[in-house]
Amino acid sequence: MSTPPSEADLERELKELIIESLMLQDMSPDDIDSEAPLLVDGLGLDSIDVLELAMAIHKRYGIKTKADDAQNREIFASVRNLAGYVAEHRGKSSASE
Amino acid sequence: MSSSPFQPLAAYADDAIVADGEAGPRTVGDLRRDVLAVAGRLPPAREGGEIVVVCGDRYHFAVGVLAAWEAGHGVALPPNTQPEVVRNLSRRSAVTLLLHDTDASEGADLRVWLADSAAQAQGVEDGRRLRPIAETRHIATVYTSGTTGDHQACAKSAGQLLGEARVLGQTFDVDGAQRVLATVPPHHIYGLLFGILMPLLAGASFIRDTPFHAETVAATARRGGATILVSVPVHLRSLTVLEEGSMPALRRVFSSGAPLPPATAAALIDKHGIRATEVFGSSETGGIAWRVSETCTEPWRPLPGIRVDVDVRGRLLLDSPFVPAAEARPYVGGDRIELVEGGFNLLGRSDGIIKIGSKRVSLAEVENRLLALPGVIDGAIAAVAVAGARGHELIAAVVVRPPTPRDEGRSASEWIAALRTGLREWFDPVVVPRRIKIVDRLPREANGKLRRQRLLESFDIKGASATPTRASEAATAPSPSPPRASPAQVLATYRLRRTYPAERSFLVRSHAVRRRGGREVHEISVQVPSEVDRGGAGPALARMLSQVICRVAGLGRPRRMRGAGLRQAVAPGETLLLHLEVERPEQRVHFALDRGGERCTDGVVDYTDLGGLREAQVG
Repeated sequence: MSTPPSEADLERELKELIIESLMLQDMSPDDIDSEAPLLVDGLGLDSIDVLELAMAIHKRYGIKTKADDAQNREIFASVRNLAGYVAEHRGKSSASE
Repeated sequence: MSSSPFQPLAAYADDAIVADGEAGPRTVGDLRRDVLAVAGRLPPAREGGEIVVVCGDRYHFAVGVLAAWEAGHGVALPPNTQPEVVRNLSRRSAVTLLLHDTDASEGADLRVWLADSAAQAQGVEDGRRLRPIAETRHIATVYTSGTTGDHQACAKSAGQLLGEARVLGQTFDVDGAQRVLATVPPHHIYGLLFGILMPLLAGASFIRDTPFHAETVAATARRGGATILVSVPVHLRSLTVLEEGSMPALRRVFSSGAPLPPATAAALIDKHGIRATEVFGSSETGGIAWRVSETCTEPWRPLPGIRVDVDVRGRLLLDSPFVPAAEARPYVGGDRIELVEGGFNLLGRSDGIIKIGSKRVSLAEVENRLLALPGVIDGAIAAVAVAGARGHELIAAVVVRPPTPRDEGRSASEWIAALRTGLREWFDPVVVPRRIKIVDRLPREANGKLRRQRLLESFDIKGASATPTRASEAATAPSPSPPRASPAQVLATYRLRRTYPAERSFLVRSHAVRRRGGREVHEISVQVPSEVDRGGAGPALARMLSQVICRVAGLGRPRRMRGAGLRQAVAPGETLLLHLEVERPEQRVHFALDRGGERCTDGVVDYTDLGGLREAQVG
């Protein structure tokens, strides 16, 4: 594998993707806490946002979500969880090719 | 329409699978046994009594609904399953029980009853059938977002609800070989009709789970052998990222709740060979028309038995067996249409209702809930059109009370978080305003009318068009033509205590502002709640008065009130006229409360003008 981006870089990239794909004009990546919940109490994303974000991640990284919504809820719980999932699956696809 | 009663589960053989999913398959025999067991444990039915059913598992939902009908009850369907909404609905006097499969503390847990039913059954087949349901019987009340801001109740008879389910099954060739997968919850009328009742009346089966993410929808459809998908545009749009071949061959895909964007329709055909069947209808009217959408310009074809026409103002006129018998014929819809060869085109809504995703939203309702939150002095909601499947998003500008010792130093972002939490108790998260701003005062004109364009400018919204909303524009100024749905307009609702039900709310019905001899004069018509406090109307009137001074007249926070006692008794439900004369320099209001030209009480209120007290902070 070529040098992977650091965890912090990936988290920042995802925050930018969230702001861009969900059109959160008033926010900057620094406003999003990596550990805060993305839904409800933290950033307050709703179900439409989550589907839009899943589409954006699919397009950007070629990564699909799981076929199990309980696991998907876990993945979309915070930027940190999302970054972990993206890092893991990006690694897998490049290793298999 | 036939006048024969509906015979639940008559379309099946006993060993047919009626529901399947993560929690396992269930046969028609299982369903009948569970329905009878649950029906036997329900409280006795009474005239107009209803059972609230809130279940995530579609099989549980079907058991709950059929058991309620078997035992002679109706069912009440909440507009969403946010905790306050369910709690509020369950406390209505008509409601006898909340039946759920969640971890709610109130009501009865259906899962426990079903476990008992299974344990007792052990191979016993008692051969009992379910009772027929007469066509005229009231079987459900559907609560929706209404134009006046309160939840509107739509009563459904068996002829409307089950009659429609039967027509849908016939129109779309649903037979025993079909299995329905729905991505919409069963408590929603579209989800109930298409996801449960249509398959039940056609002898078809349904999948118990409600998948959400695209990959989960595809996997559930493949695993469960779905042949029909019941969904909404937002969910269908997310399916377009899936690879070709990941969706099983589906006989039909339904889309309802909002118009399908042409780009989504094209991508569905391109990727999965899916030509979505769009269905147009509403909670009040039931299904009206359908079309198979390739370009989304195809005309809408009325469902069998339905006649559609247009009035001089371009509004939809409807003659349908699915509209309650009590409604006038033709029924005047809230949509504008044009008649074309083969059907009609939809041109948009004619009232203050918008769609976010496929959720129906009344701006007046969101505004009223916002105003009822603690600490809120004034507030306004506006809808802004946005790209994508969302369609619209809400913004809110809110004036909060000046800092008290208790919340000294509470920042704007803390206020915003508290407001979001408060609204989420009542609304699906999709409906909670995306952007909330704490402001010093709202851009209101002297008559209290909101300058909505300036509100949008304060959010730095350029180019976006605000959806004009009758209900919201009228928040402080009576509209010249009240909406069809309400005989007398309600401008605002005030609960004096947060825990009070709607029956104990004051309704503000009109508000006019004039200048007389340099003084600002407000005339406000207020309806006394149908239930008043045990302490009598006096204290309630005093509290109403201070809220009206704050919120309707927009003056500030009342400090001191001196008034004469009630000279006339005030009866529940009566409409009173409140005169306010404002002395701005003195921060004083003279008030008088009249009933039919007779004075009930009068006095003086000193208030604190809030203008300029707080520097606006942008959240």
